[in-house]
Amino acid sequence: MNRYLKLVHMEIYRFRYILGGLMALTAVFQISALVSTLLRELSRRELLGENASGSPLSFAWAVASTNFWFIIPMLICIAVIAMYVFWIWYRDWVGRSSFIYRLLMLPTSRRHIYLAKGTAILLFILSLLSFQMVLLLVENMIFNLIVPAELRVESFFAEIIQSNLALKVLVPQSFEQFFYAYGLGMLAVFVIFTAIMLERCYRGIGILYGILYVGACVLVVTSPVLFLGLDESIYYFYPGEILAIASALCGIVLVISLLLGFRLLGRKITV
Amino acid sequence: MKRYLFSIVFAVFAVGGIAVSYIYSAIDHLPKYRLAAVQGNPEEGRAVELLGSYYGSVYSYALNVNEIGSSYSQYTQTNFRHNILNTRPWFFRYSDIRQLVKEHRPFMRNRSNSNGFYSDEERLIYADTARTYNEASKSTITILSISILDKATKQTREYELNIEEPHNILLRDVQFTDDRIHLLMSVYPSDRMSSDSIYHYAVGLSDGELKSVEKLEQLALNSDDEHIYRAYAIADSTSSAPNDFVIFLQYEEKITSVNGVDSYRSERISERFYAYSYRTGELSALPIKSGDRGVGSLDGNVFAYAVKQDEEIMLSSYDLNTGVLNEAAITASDMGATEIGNSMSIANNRLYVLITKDRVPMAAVVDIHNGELLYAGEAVYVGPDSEAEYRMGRLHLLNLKVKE
Repeated sequence: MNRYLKLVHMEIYRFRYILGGLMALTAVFQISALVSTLLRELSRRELLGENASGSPLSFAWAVASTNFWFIIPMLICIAVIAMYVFWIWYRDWVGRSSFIYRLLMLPTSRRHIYLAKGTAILLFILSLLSFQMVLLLVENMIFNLIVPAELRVESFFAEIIQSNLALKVLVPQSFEQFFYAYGLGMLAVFVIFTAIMLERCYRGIGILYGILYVGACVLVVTSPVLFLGLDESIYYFYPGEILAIASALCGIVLVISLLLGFRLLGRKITV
Repeated sequence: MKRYLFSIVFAVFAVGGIAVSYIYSAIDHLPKYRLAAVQGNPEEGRAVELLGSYYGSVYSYALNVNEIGSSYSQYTQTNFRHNILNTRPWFFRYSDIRQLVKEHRPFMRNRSNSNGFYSDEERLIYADTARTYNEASKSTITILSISILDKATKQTREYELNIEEPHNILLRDVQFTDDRIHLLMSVYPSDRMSSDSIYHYAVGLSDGELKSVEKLEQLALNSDDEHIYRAYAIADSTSSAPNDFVIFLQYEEKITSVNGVDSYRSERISERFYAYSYRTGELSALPIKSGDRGVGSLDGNVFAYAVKQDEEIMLSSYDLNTGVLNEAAITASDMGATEIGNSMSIANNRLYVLITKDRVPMAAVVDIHNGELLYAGEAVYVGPDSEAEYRMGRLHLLNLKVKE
């Protein structure tokens, strides 16, 4: 356990500058867009004087009005994390002094390396989300500083989240949905990790194995929803049974991915 | 330990940030409302729910308001599990169907026509139709399949009958009396400018033989170039419940213009209610006057109908066994309101009405037998009084639903 945590620490430490950069980029994009939108709106109202629209400004309105500049850094973060799911493995192989030699020779079970990388990816995603939540608080304060009290109205937290196209997907109102969405996301990460292990073990033909493995997992996970007549008038399974089958298949794919990944990393991979 | 401080702080920030966000989101959620009883028994108000929107500063948010509180379920309860469990709403929205699935799971499997069930203490019957092309006769026929579950022995019997009907058939109701399974079918001609036909099929329970086929001629008057007759069946509000009767709303349409072969414009010029008895085969006109956007419901042997006319609701209830008709005219002021809304529903021998008093949305529950007001409740803001006026101004409830 101790060695696993040390490996997680190592992965976080290696990614800290990229993560910091992503957070800074998000803050710069969003705050500058927010400030310029608010200043533009206030000057417009000042210019129109009494003819200006009488509706007060809300932070939810400000977030909705800067949708594009809020979403762009979020998409960049998602893209970087998606690429890092691959790079977290391949960076250990490339370079003159391959780090993977040292990793694989550590006096610990090799599955700790696999799990540490998965844990690190999850923490990167959660940290970016948490940062976005903190940033919303900061931006709300900036909004209150710029907009005079008589011109503004308070927004509910749910309104702020719903005002942004990306936020309402990334931070679902239902915690249960958050659990499912990010659970499926982590399942996808482990499937990709195992596909990477296949490629590292079998090289050329391993790419084909990896692609086939990912395709098979996608098919298995989506098959209950696609092929069991979920929303059709003629059906055999009840919705509760389809849910149970879908959950069981997700569990099976997770267990197979982990076991296959552990086995390939432990027994097959050579450096 | 100091060496790992960065990672510890980082992990706490990552997990804690999300946890705090969800806790904060639960506290600082959209405004809460509820229905507060103004008159009558609050218990009567439990079944009713008002539907509409809260107008936020940017978007509007759909919500339901009832006696317990308000729910923005579209946002707070939407998740993968909920989405999967709530598929096929056309089937699972009926409480009797849900109960049948619970009690007779294997029999109910693969059955999807909610009009096709009949259930009493001894048996559960399911009937459905399917169109198929018969290679031998080179024609399209309809296969009527009937499954009967003996509730005591759990044994199932299945029958199949071929119906030589080239047009679309829709099964409307299934009943059982005097050892016969009664099936009510609507036949829709492919030419939409012809009248619908209603048929009553009787099939023997023990042998699956077709005993009789009766066309309800009085409902299926022949169309001419200017008039079309249609009949709409109103079966028991609990679709699988035994009932000797079925109600028809027959209406006559006058064609005002024709575009092409099947497309036309029409206006409804007359409507009439009929009651049909499966046991006697008698079709009798009901002394109830229908109107635009009226709501009707057959509950056992009582047919209730309500229609908004000018500033009042005309409520009629007719006992099909005794032939006793009760009528009542209910005004907005009778319900403690200033205006009657556009949403009504009849269920559980009650009429549920959306009303408003000085723009505040309200719900009223009225006894269908005598028009007596049983409950009136108004939507109120749950929060500081200082915010109440602003928050109520942003609440727009335009529909009403009766919870099953």
